[in-house]
Amino acid sequence: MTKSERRVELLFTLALLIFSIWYAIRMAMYSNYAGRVPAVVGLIMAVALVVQLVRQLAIRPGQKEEHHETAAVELAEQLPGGVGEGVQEAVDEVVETEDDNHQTLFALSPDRRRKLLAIVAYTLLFWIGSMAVGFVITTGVLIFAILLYSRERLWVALAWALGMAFATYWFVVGLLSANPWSGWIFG
Amino acid sequence: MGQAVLDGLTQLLQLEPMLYLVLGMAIGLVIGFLPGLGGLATLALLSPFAFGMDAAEGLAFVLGAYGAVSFGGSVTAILFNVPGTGEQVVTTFDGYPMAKNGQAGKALGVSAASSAFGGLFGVVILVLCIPIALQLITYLRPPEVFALGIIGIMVMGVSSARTVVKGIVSGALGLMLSFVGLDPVTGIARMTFGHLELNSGLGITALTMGMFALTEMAVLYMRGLSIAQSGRAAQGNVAGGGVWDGVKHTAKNWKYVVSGGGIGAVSGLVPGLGGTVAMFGSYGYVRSRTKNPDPPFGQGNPLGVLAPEAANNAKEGGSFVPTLAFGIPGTSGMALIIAILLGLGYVPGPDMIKNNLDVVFLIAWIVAFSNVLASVLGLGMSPLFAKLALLRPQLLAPALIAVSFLGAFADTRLMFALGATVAFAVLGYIFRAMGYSAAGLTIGFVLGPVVDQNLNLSLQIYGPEFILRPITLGLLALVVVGGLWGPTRRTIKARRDRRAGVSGEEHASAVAGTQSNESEVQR
Repeated sequence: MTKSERRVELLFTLALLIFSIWYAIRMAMYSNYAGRVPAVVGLIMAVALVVQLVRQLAIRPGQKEEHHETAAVELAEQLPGGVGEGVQEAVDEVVETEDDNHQTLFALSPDRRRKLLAIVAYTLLFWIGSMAVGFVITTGVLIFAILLYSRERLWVALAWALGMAFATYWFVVGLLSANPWSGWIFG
Repeated sequence: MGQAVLDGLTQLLQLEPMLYLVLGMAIGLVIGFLPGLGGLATLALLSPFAFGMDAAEGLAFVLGAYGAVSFGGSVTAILFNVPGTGEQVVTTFDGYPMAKNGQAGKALGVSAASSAFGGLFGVVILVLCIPIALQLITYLRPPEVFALGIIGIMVMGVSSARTVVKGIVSGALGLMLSFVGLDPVTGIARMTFGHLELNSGLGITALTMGMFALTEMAVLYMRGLSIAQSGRAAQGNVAGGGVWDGVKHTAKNWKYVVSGGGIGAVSGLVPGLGGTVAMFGSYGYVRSRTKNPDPPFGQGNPLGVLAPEAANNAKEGGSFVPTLAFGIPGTSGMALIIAILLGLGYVPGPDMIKNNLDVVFLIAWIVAFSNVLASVLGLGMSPLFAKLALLRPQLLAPALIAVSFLGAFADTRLMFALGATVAFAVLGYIFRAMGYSAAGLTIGFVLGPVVDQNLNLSLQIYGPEFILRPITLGLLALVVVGGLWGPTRRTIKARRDRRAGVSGEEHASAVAGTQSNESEVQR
């Protein structure tokens, strides 16, 4: 575990711990035992998080966090006759794509960071845009924009965006019987 | 029970449910061919559409798609060496070499036939287990139902998180989030902060869309490779000839279909084992039972495709048993199926077996039909749709994010759901990176009301001593033993390895010492 990974893990555990204690106290304050079960669950989670915190503090930089062996690797090793080169390659590929971790999702290469920021911005703008001008316009405009940003050809971006906007219109009007131009701007 | 079997079949054999079954399977196959999308994303994306349908249509649509995704994944495993799901890597071991040797059609035929027969085997196991479950549930009272809920959450959380504690935290957080909203007993609003939208809770659709669909899309977009690019060699002629040869080969080796089906069904029956154990177990079994295989395993032996594919599909039938009878999901997919069943108005567990047995058999029929039809449809669609694997995630992810938001909105018709979806997506991404369990959180969220209600009832009826009821105590002890089993086993193994390492070093130094003595003597 790298220093930054350890720091992020500790911070998240602490945040969850503070949340669970706050949650348990708040739930315990409701009358007529309305928050009894939630408060108990909150306390159990707090205890589990304290255990986790102690363990994480005990891990030295460079030492691995004790975790379940990736099932595919463990089982491939137990195959009768072991694994051939081709098989090992396939297993490694799956582990690489399946075993998401700090390295693949937080400590990003510049290219991956750029892509992550783009898709996060798209998601947030989609949320805000849907509230402002409704789903149809938001879908069309944002898909067109992100495809251009992804260096797709102009006609591909335009066709894809128009197709999705029409599909959204059909969904909103045809299936939900809702107003396609709803939102803060159109009322 | 016989009547329930017929009722289930009659409900399915109507025009609309059958149409939705075929439509669901077609969507499932397409999603199966698409890069990086698996059963979980399929269930998350389709669930809001199912909530607007009646039970037979909704279940046919969603379960049809879920069943077909797996076959789509097998096709990409065989043709592109890229499995649809992690466990399907086993199919690539011999499927891809077969395709490279010009036997793609035969490999697809073997995969289709063994998937269909394996799936049917799983359904038979499901049907055989229902009478046993009917007997067992007569012993269940609120304390036992509460304990089963806890088992379900712990099994899911612990088996899919990186550490046991992270599994427990995931399940507990799911429970905590499920308690937001009106208390069903007192009607007091909990953690709503005066927002009326929160009175009915945070919403399961927002959770599944955020934690599974949106997170998946973000990761997919970031990786940025279509499966055909990451896979090394797409075949020119997708299916090729020899499909029928594959089907005949499967029929000839029916014993391995049965053994694979058996291993798969048992893996499904035991919550937490899942498809990886089923497929690897079955592959290992067939390898150990075949003397002098020609061609050798790993170089294109059809039995290496047949056995794991049969196990993979049989596993689904098996894992429906604990899911439907006791509300304990065996796999992450089953956690989402529980959420969908709740959305359709059914509570998986003893109540469902007691009061909605026809729906249980309806599910069995859907799984049986979809297994056979998905194979046939899949073989037909492969030549056309396998090209979907060439689609770039840059095109797919933005469109599917739009679909996810629309789905979240469709469920509640509240814009609040969009904000909740974004929040869950952030949590899902952090969970994924740090090895917490999104499935554990989901099942905690889904079973929260069941746990809350039954714990309150238990306390009212039996007082705190409810915990000492024999079955409850046994079930809760199982939770503790299950939680401690992994770490204890690892500690023992590490100690044994250390000891072996020490004695190995001692042996090595002794040998070195002897050798140096010998050389000195020689000198």
